[in-house]
Amino acid sequence: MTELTELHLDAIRESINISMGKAAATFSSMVSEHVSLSVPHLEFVTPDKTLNVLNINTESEMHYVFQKFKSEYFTSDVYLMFAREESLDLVKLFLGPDSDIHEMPQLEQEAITEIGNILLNACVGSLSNLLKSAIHGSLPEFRKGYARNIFNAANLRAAEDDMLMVVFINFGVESKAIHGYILLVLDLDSFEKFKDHILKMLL
Amino acid sequence: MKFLSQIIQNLPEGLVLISEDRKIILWNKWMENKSGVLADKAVGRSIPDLFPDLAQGRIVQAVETALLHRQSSFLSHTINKIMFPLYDVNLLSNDCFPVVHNVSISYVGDESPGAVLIYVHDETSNVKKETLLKNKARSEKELNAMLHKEIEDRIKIEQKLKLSAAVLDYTMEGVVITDVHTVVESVNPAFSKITGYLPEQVIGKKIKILSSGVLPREYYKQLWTTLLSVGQWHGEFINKKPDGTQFVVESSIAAIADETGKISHYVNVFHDITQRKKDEEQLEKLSRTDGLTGLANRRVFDEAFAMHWSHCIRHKRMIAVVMIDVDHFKLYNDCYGHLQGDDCLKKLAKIFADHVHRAADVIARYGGEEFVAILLETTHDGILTVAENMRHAVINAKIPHEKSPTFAMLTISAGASFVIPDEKISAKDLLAKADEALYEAKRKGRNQVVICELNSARG
Repeated sequence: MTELTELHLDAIRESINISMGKAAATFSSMVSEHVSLSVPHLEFVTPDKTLNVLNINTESEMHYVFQKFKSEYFTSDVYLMFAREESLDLVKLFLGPDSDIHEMPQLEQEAITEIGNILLNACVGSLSNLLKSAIHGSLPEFRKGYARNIFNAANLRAAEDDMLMVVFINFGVESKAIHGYILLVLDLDSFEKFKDHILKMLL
Repeated sequence: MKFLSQIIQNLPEGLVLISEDRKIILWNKWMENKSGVLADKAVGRSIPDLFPDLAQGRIVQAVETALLHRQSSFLSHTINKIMFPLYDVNLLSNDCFPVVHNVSISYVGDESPGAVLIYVHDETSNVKKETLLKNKARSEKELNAMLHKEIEDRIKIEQKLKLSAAVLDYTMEGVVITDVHTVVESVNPAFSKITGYLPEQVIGKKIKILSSGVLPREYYKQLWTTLLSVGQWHGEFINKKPDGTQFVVESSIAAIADETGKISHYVNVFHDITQRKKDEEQLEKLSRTDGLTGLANRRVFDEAFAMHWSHCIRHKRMIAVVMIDVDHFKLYNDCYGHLQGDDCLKKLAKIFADHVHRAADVIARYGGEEFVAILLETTHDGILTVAENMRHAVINAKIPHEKSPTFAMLTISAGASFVIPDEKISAKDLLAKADEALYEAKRKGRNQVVICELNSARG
């Protein structure tokens, strides 16, 4: 079995980075402030290792957006997650500092859904470019949960030996640092296909 | 599918279908009603044709994304200022209201050419609801504040009426009413239950009879200053029952004035908090002691060490730490079992506590079989004496340790370090130095004490 080398990972990383840059531009225009995105950190892990890799406390309350993506090479569930407080901080950027989102949960839900949607589309879009194949994306769904519950295989609808492609990005808006986590859940079969195709495309 | 088209036309939501060449191919009734643009005019044109303002907007952008990448987008009214120009018209008043809406955009169709479905969801009533809720939450807060004030006012009035006798009989709160000279005029049943005094034992006597005498005179002085200036006092008393047992009450005293405005009575309402106090103390103690040995735990050590450290910097005093480790404790546990190992740690803890007994000194369980002591205002020789005494005491305790390669009895190694601290060194340095000394003691064959002075960075 051929493995993805650091070179392949770099190619994926760079491709995601370019798309994320575009997403950041969209972002900046929406909040009329400069949004900086860190270079995405990329890793392939099994579900049980995810929390460790991301360095998330099991008791953290996470707010997340979920989308399904489907291409001829793989199907994947994709997640964008924020710690609750940081999710609220992010929404505040859009709604202005005076908005009291604690009193209006609906606003947070919708804003995060859209933000997640933009970023997930950008991330998956870059894979679509890399694979030179269309990836159908479902509409985003907003959910909440404790890290320990979200990151177990059953909830990620993954098998224990499925691979998660974990993309870890930092959003910086002026002084505020907000950490966003993108998880691409690939089942073993999809992972192999994905890998083979990446290897082929990057020959 | 004639039904399908009727369903689409009658949906209470907006539906728009865009072809691959960006032309509108479906514009349902709802869209007609809210936008004022009829389907005849819309079909065959593009969105920017109909609404030039949207040309650079996110809706058009998301349609492109759907066509190019097959991706779905969700656009929320909360973060998108430019959406469809949709309005509700109130025909009675001829008023116009913007329709707040979210938009979902996705690619439909498995084979090319497909189409892009734009789904427009009316959020106006939801937003209204949330705004209402928000305002309600705010007004509820105000209402509560008002209610609270009303209750307070009422309590004041009731106190002035000396409360109704029925309430006094049933309340769990002890109530005692005295005249202006603190002579008891009446008490309620709860008073007797809490204090142990029957009414006839206190009525006509000064309330002072309850006092345990534990609280300083100054405390009562403060009480009277507050009571006379503010009209009320809230605090705790340590009282005494007829049999001498002490109890603690939380008490509110109000001064009551007569028609002329002169103080005529005092009403003291109180309840017993002895048990609560005990529980609190117990909790505090539990959170500060190591469960096995009863010594201070790591948390207390860290706090005490930080406190003493800054104190010693300020006053240029010497501070020493002694790290103690039980020699070959793992072998001990393996040989005698964990239960006996625990017993052994308890014995050692007692020995150490006996040798570190000056008020300011601290002995704590640092973790596992490690103990640590803080010694203050001592000397090299002083530290050596304390550490050696502990080492000898452990040997004298004659705890057998047959598997020990060092000695047939249980022994300890100790490493100590001391310094007159200043800002240039940190408390961690001292701990590290003591740890180094302990390691040295181990290396040299265990069952001994090594002391290393920590040189301040200056020296």
